[in-house]
Amino acid sequence: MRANWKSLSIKLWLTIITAIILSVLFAYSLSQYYYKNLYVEKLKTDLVNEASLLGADYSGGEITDDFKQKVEWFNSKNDSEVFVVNNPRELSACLPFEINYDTLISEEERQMLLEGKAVEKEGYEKRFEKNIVAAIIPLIDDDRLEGIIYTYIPVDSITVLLKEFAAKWIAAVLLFLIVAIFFTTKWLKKLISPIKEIETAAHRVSEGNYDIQVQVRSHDEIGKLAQAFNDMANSIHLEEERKKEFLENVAHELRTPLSYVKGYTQAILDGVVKNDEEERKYLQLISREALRLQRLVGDLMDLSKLDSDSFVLHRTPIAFAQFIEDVLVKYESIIKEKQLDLQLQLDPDPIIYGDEGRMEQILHNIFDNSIQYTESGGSINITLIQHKEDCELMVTDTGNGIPEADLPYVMNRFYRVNKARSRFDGGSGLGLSIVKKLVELQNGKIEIESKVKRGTKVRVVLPTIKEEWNS
Amino acid sequence: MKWGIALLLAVLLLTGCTSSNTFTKINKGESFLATVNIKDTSLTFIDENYHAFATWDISEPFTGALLLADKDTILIYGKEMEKVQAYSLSAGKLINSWEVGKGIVNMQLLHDGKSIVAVNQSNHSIYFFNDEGEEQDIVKVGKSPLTVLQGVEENRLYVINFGDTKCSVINLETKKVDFEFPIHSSSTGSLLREEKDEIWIGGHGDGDQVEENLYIYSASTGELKSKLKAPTMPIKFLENDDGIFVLSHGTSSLYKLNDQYEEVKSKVVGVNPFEMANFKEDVVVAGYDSDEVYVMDTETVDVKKTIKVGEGPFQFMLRE
Repeated sequence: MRANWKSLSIKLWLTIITAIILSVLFAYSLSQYYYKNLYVEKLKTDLVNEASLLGADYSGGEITDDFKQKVEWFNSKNDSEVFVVNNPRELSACLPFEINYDTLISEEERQMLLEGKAVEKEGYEKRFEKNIVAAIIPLIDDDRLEGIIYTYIPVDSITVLLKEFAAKWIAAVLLFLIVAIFFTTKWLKKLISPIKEIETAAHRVSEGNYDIQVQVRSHDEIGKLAQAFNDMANSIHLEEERKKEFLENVAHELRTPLSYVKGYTQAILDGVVKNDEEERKYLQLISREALRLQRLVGDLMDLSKLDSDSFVLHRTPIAFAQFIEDVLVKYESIIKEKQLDLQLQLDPDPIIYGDEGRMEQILHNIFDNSIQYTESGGSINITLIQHKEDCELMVTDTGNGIPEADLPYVMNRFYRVNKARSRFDGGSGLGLSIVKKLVELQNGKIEIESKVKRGTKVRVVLPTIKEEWNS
Repeated sequence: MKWGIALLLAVLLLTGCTSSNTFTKINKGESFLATVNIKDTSLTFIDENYHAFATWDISEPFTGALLLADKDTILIYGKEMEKVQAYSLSAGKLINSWEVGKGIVNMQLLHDGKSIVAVNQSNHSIYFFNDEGEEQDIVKVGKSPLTVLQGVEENRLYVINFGDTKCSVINLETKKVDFEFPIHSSSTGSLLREEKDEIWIGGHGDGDQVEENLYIYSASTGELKSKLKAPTMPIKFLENDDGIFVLSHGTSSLYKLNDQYEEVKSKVVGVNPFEMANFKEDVVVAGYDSDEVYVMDTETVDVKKTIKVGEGPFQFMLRE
């Protein structure tokens, strides 16, 4: 582990070790407290029991020497100190007179003893000049406190015991700490290593190396982070590819019309043109290519706007059927020219909330494509149906159709089904991707179904608004 | 009408407040034996038929009470009390208090019925008051004086110094210490037999030594005349027609002696008794730890009756 105090592993390590040490210390003090208390309580009970058993031999009257000797004999065989006191002065009998003498028992204790209760003591006793745990039981004859049995154990012995206990404790704790530190360090290393891997990988991504992948070993947060990192790297990679492709496409698309313009212009300038008719033909070609360039640049600007957040839709309620019919008016002549059979089934109900200009752009694009790719004598069917909360526009043609392999990509930028014939189709290859974007911006969706040689069906679903808008 | 009710309520309220400081009234003609109970600081009044009939629960740390010559005023005193308090028995309330300062452990009424002697342990002095509580004289004596005894014939006051090993004898005429004589330590309790030139002094003993004897000194010279065995810790003496009674609290024993100081009877009585008195024809003993008063037959020294009193009866106060 590197000695970098700011590193996460050191912080985690310190936190865990501190927590372990604190809990050990807490457990130790708690155990000391309970040990001492339970032990002392047990000791007191034992002392009271011992004294009570001895006291049971007292049969009343003056305390005899025989009784005292018995207790003395017991004392000699026993750990605790036991003795009988029958000196009234020691028993605080003279207390109202404030005799200048430290009695063995206090006035309160005397009162308790007179009531027949045992007295338990703990603390420093001046008489014995040591800390003791003591129990006193009264020897009562006819309410008279004839004497007491005093039994005590010096607390020093408990302290010694506690010290012994503490030594063992500390040894065990040290062992535990060493083991805990060892395993914590190992575990933390294992835990942190994927993060380090991700860090290294992130550096490499920032250097432009996008195909790097971090190994996902676990399913915890770090595992998920690694997975997310991999996804992110993939996305960046893809985006980079797309950007590259897009630029290539743009360059390619611009180059062709430019070379036409350049070529014909040069031809005119060089005087290669034989007559006015030919010159006019060349100028028409130049104009057409300039128009293509203009449309291409316009589409590119549209796309760039659509991609940015600043794109604003000016939405108004639109009676969709009427709107479609209005747009179709512009196609009357070309339809007639191409002898196409146009079938309309438009439900007048749907009212959509959309940007008129953008809706027109969408319809133009779809109709353009249908008309363009349908041979003379074919038919185009336009249907509008109101559903519960949305409406569905279907434009079905009997055109060339799109090969199945190309179908998923037709709405990608610059994607062309027939790469070879593209230049004269007039499209920039951006139309459908702009349509898709615009439909989505108006909360709708667009789908294309197609079969080669059979025709294509374009479905546009858009949300409708309620009747109130009408009124 | 409303005013009347309000006034009535006010009067009830006021009397209610004042009555909380009054005690059971003790009729003037009534004889009683009262115990001063120092553990619960109360007075228990017992009538001639040995029935406790009143308890005064006084919230003062008092250790003694003295009945004055008017047989109605009692003085309450204690070492920790700043003032000596005067109560009227018949009114059952505090009527006066004397500013004497802390340290009073004993008070006695002298035979003239006017002078009051107060033993002050805080400055080891004897104070003389008139019955109005005015200080007349102060006489310095030995350490921690406790027991005082008036010798009528010689007009003397014997002061037994509990914390000292001497007895101070004050001339009541001159209010000066006439002479002092050595006595044993922790001495208390005394009996003056002037006709025999004897002063009997008991005690508790010294250190862990328990006093077994009572000492008889010459009342005029202070010379130790004799020692009598009275185990253990004789602290109270009494003489009547039946003999001399000695109360030893260490063994809770009551001894009855004849003229020749021979023990004629002895009895274990009470629990840790400190106080004994003549009441009517009987000898009464108070058991400090048993909270009881024992009425003894003076002839047989048998307990005739036991009366429960307050906690820690330490002193008697009689009115006959």
